[in-house]
Amino acid sequence: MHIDTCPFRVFPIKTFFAIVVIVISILISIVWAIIGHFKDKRQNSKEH
Amino acid sequence: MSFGIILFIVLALYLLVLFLIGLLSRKATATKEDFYLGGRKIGPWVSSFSFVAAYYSSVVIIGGGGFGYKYGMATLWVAGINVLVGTTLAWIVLGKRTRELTQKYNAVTMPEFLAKRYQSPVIQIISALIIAIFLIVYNVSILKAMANISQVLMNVEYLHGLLISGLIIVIYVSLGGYLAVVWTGFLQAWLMIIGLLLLTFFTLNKVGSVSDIFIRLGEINQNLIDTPGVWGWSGLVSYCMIVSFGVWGMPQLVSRFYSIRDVKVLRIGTVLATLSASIALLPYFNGAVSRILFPNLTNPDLAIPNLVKLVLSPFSQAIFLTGVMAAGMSTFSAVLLTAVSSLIKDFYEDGLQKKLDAKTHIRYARLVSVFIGILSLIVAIKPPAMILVLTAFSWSVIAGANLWPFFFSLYLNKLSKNAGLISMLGGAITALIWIIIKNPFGIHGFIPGIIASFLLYIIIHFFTKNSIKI
Repeated sequence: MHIDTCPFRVFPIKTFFAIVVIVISILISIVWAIIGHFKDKRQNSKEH
Repeated sequence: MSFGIILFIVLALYLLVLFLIGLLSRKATATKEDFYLGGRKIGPWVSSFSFVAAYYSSVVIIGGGGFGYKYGMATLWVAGINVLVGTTLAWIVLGKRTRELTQKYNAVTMPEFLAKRYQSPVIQIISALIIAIFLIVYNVSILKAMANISQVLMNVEYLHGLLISGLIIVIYVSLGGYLAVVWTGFLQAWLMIIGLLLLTFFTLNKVGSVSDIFIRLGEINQNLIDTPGVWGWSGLVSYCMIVSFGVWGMPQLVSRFYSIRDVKVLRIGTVLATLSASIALLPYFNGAVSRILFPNLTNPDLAIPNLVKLVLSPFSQAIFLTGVMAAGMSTFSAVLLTAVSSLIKDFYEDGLQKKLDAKTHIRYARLVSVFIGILSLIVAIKPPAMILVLTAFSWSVIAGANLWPFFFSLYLNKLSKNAGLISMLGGAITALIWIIIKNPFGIHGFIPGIIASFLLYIIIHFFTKNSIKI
């Protein structure tokens, strides 16, 4: 049975995507935190 | 120095720190809000790490390893979805609204919050009873995992391992309440992470590179490295959903958001929780790898304990065992506290209208936590299934009942009491019946449970007069 592998030729591609999901989650959390921080800052300066 | 002596020293040091935290927390626990929510003053590091410690526990380390052994590398998907849906999205979607509304309604438990939002004491009683009963099943799976690792590493009987771990937890939760739970959770998350990193490092050292592992596993069975592999899509998707989306309706995890200090803490906490939750990959990976080293295990739950014994030095074994104990204890204690709050506060005090003063309330809560802990210990003497199977059963019913009524109570302006109540009962009963008739089509009861709960909620919401406003 032939199984396609990921670009590093280590993981089968469908299993490799599980790790990609984790990387995407980390990026989402960082971007969300940064956007929230600047949103708050803008709101604070408006109130002042 | 023999393993026994090293283990004794490491465990003794760890337990000493736990008892100190329990005692210090006891001093800081004067009111009900202190006992259940730590006074809503918890910072980002403690909030996020105690969330992960309560989420993963010995169930993921030992039970996840067992699933990795049985179903192979496809189980890495469970870890991936745990991080995305169970952690990152849960913090983003539920965190802020939960923190704001639980404070506005002055609610310290999920059933109490639901009762106040839906203006229905019946919802509080039903939710509290479902949580208390099915969290005991979850406790059993945690205890089984702790006993399994003690069995192999300490060479003791299953029963003795069970008694040692169970009794320690019951004592320190009944002493310290929520503050003890979050602070020890923080410490325990670190121990869990260090233990898993050590295990993965030495396992790779023993077996070879990651690509070697995939080649050797593929030689045993190609399906052990592919997705969905031996599991099949229905099994894989079901488990991913239960242990990830299920988080959204699990009170012991959602309660972490009630106690966060402010929104800023929540943002930093989301990043920290996501990063630390990523360690879920390791137990599933190591479990799958152990199939190369022990191809003929009859009990898959013993895969990680045997791997630890084979690849780690006695000192590292002691650290790992302490890490697993820590992981189990953190979740067990969080679960115990939630079950206690459901019975004492939601069922007895609010449901049966028996008012207690703060001191009596905390004393009753401590007594009930000892009672539930001992009850869980008795059931765990002869556990009926694999660790993760027990967990999935308990989560399906609890999340089936609470998930949608809780979610909609955060986001809808107008609510219907009937929609909340019928959706709650419909979700729990559907999940339970589906599991009793042995999960037809390979789909776990959680999926029909949350679908039924969602549909019932939407239908009743749109066909009844919705009078309750935020």
